[in-house]
Amino acid sequence: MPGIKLLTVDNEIVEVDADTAKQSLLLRSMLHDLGVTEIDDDEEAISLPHVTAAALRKAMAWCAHHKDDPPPPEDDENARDLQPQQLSSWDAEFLRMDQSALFELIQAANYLDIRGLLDTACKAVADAIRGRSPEEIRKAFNIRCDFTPQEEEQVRRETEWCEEK
Amino acid sequence: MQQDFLHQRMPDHALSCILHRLDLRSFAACRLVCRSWHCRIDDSRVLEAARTSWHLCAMLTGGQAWKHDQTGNGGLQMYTRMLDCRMLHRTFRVPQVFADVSYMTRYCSTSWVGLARCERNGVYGGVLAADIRVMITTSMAYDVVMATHKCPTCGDTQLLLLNSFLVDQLKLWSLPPAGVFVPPPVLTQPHSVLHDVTNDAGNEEGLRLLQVASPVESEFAVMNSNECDTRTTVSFVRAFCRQLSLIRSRISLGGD
Repeated sequence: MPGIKLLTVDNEIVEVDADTAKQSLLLRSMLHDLGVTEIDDDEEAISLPHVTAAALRKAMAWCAHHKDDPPPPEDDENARDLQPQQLSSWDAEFLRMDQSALFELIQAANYLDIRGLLDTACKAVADAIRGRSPEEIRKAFNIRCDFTPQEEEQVRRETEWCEEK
Repeated sequence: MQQDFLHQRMPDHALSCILHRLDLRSFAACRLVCRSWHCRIDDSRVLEAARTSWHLCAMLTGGQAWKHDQTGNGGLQMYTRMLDCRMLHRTFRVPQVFADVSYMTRYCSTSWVGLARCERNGVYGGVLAADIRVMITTSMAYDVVMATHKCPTCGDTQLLLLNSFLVDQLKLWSLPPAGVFVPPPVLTQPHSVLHDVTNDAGNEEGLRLLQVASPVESEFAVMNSNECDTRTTVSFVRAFCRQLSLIRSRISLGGD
């Protein structure tokens, strides 16, 4: 199985399967432009300035699992949003990670342009937020409220209309 | 570190992906989490888009019935309650609807479900745009959107009529004021009809379907100083005048 070398932001070289890597539109276009087809010891690793090794491995694991999935529709938000989809149990388990890791994964998926993974990870974050009060969100994301009571009241007033039924 | 989860380093596109999936109440809750979330969310323009969508939706429903998306996947979308043509008529004080029986029947007998949707980064001419679709539950009808809007250039409140059979996206050039719902103004006289002409060929067909008009064509010819609005208004007026001529011919041939 041909592979390619990728240099992550934390200076680690990660070898990944080329077919799997091609689910990243960024890598696909890079490989195409560079004419890279397989690992060559002399070949310089492709530098990924915004991706950590851990996030890259996770992203590639996701790509490997989803390699036979049909490609996501071309930015068709209408279709996507009108068809509610739950995370698959595999994805839910896959995304069970601490928030900084999830954040890095989102950053990696965004940079590498892996739309399916980005959608899935963002959905997981949205699921963690949805239906919660500000206080519950703070707890979930370990965030300290730094609003003064007056500011908080002001912000609340600005979005009062969201609370209407 | 955790404080930065949505702040600074979260790519815009990813942030939009997340916010877009939230219902409005959760979205509002996010703004209240901390200063960094508040700034980031407000910078994302999703708030303005949400407000615009909500406002239009509220207008479509007379300011009452709208609800959060409960599917868990819809993001900033709101469904209006069932509407019919008479309700729309009352809501918008549409100056005149031609008593074309077949079309009136067609629309009045149709239940309407509106779906207001935000275009996350939609910008038209530097002003945020919102995409609105109105879906009709019966298969034979076409999507139609009606709304009032205040022209940011001339300041005039206008009636906006669009048929998404013609255009994929409805552009709103105005943003409603923050805060409480303001009922749509009563239009004491006909205003211009704006039409975003992305498909000139469909113009007449759309007009035929809309069947909404001013009693006199001159009243339609309200021009805006905004060049794009003017162009689209002119285009619509031309098509309307042709339609009006056809109707007058029909009346002179046997109508009353």
